[in-house]
Amino acid sequence: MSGDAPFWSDRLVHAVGAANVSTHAGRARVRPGAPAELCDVVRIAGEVGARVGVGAAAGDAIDVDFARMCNVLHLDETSLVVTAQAGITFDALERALGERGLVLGAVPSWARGRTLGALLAAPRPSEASPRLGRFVQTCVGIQALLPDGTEIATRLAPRKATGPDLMHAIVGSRGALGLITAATIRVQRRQDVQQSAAFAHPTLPQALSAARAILVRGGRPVDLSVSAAGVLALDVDGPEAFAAAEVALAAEVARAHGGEPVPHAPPPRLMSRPHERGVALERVDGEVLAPALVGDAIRVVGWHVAGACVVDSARAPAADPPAPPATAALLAALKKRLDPQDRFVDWPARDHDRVAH
Amino acid sequence: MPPLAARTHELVGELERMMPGRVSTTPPDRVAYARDLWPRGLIGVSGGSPAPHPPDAVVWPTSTEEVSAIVRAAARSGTPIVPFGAGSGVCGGTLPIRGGVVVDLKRMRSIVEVDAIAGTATVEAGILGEHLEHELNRRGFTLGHFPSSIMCSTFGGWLAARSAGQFSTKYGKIEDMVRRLTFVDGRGELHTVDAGAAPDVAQWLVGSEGTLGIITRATVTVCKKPELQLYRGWAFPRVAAGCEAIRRLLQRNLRPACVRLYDELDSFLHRGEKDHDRGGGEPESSALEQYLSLLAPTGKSVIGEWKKRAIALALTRPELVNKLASTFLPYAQNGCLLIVGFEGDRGLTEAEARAAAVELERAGGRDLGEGPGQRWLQHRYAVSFRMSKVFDAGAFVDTMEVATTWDKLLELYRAVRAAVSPLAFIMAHFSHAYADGCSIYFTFAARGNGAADAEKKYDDIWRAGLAAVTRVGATISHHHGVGLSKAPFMPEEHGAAMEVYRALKDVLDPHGVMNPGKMGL
Repeated sequence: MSGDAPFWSDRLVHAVGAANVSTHAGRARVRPGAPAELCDVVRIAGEVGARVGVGAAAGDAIDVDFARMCNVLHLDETSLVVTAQAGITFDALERALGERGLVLGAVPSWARGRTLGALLAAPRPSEASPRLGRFVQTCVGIQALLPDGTEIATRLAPRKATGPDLMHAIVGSRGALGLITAATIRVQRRQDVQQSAAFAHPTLPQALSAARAILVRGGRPVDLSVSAAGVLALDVDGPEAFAAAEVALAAEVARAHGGEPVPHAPPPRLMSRPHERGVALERVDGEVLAPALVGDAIRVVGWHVAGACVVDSARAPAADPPAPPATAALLAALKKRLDPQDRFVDWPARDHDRVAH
Repeated sequence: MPPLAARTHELVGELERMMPGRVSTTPPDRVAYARDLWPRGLIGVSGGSPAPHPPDAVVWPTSTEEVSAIVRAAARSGTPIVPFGAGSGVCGGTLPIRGGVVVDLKRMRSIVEVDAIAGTATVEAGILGEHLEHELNRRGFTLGHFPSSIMCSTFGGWLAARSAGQFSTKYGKIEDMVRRLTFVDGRGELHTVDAGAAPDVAQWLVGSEGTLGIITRATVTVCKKPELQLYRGWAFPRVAAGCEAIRRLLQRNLRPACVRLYDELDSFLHRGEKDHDRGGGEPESSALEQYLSLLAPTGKSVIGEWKKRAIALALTRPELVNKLASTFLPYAQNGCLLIVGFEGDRGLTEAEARAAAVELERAGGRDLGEGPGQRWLQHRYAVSFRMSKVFDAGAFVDTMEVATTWDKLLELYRAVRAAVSPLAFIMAHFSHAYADGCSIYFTFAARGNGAADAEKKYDDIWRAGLAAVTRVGATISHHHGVGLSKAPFMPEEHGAAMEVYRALKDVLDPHGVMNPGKMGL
């Protein structure tokens, strides 16, 4: 600990241990190992009038690093859900699941090195699996710390009708309304049959129309993408008869849109490109595609046709989309209600990488 | 009928100027809007108390702007507002327990747009479910949302209560379908929010049962109308084997539209005399339908006399009958009936059904053919419309729909049965299944000595049942909502997270006028 440590840094040491507090130029960084320790940090911050934040956003606030909270807390192989601490990276989580024949499934490849908590705190419009949806949709519960130090845990059930989905007040709030300490995520059992197929179309619009038609007909591949050259590729899995039927449907639709089978085409593999470059996202309504968005590898994705978006993997990561004014006012009011002393710092998405390491 | 409060007189005058001819304070309207289909209220009706909490007034807005104006006026005067769809709720969610103004949305029933390219429909909240589905069908689409109340519930009501349809396993619950939501908050301010935003404000409103605002329209995902429906019956020796089969099916990534596994008692009553008729024949009644027809003075029962006697005994000696049923039924007949249905594109549906058959046989199921599936499909709405006869006959019947993850599902089943068995005749089916868990739909019935005794028994049953649910760690509602009946259990359901709900309430309804006294707030 350096000499210019805040006068209250001893209290942080007491809360999380000397090895887990570092100070520099009057700022403190803590690495809590459990929610109770984080709770102590928040309480101390409140008592000394300091704010709490994550990464660069912390500024003069106490900077919380979740690196020690990186454990799988519970793997329920019967229900196919895993509960893990916020600081675990997707790579680490995928490794743990892989040992049991399980996969995450819906995590975009660009997020693999990032943490569970970071992606839930600041989810971006992102790649989605037609079957599994976006990553946030696979989250079924969270544990979090509110600004007043209250620990909350949402009830775990496949679906509920007990009021608003309270998880969604914290998820996406970028840490400003609560710090997520753990989350429960749906996982997939690796299926015995996994098939890939690809079809080359004369034009990009024909390939996009084919992709849309597959979704309209009820096809739900694990992944579906279209390249700028008009190649539609998909991954399917499940029982053999059904996987074959999904490929047959895609082939029929592709043919009707002028597509021809591409032998040995590389599969799209949402799940198997761990270190793909970041992506930019643009929504596309129906079949209208702005040419400027067309890049090298476009992924037509969406939980449903209405949610389809186009991913251009050659572009830089997208910035957080600003909240619409009406929503921003609601969020500000909720922030004032839950955090009247403005104790939790807003956590921009650009800090995700910082949190992951 | 209580007289109008002074504050309400002033408000009603303002509303009448705003919406001439669409405001009522007449006793018949106030009585008509004093209740929903909460069975406890129906016990009161049979006991001669039809409207213990009438609203002061009823208004029928025709636009979101009018809803906004109503809420602004009510907020100024501090008058409670109760949003109302078609009154089919079974938890007392629309009872105006603190008086005030009921806002009936049924005149806001337009289908604003069906976007065939995007696969979405934008619809006003007050449209009846059946009308919406019919209109979508006419254009080649389906919402895929078929609650048993579809003929007497509205689109807005579905959203307000996080409704589930019978085909939720394929199409999702209503909250899964929302793409965009327009609502008026408790200050009268208008919001339009996109689903999937961060945070997802739409998911704050869906399920809030009018406590945070009034949903006036929504854009939802629609699907192509299915080309083919394949529904079959399967027999499993025990509940546990049936549940395991469903879990395997879903975790193999198959997507049946519907799975319904009836427990031994429900299966026993479910089977009509045409049990083994695979070719169709007479429609098969559901267990509840048969039960209801037994109780109805003019009802025609298709079940045998000995079954009638058993059910009559169940009303007076529920614990004994429940115990006998769980002890002997597994050995006495054909086990548990499972209905599994696939629908959609012809090729995919046929392939899915074939793959499912392999899985179900591997899990120990016996194929009963299409007969039970088709009969269920044809008669799946029949039950809900016969309930009032039960109450006329001095008994009561209700349902408890709870849910949990697969690892705790049988524990939940046993815990609720054990808790309720001493108090009521109880049976169950498992439906609304997902890869990570499933809902259990308990049906219970009992009789009291007069309305007061029946109400006490009714409350005791719910207390015992929901206490068992929370002990297991399951959720107290999968799709009926909370309203008034489950409100006391909300603190246990959400724990410390209730504070987040209170914060949302404070922000969106600072005057506390939106459906006050509900949801445990």
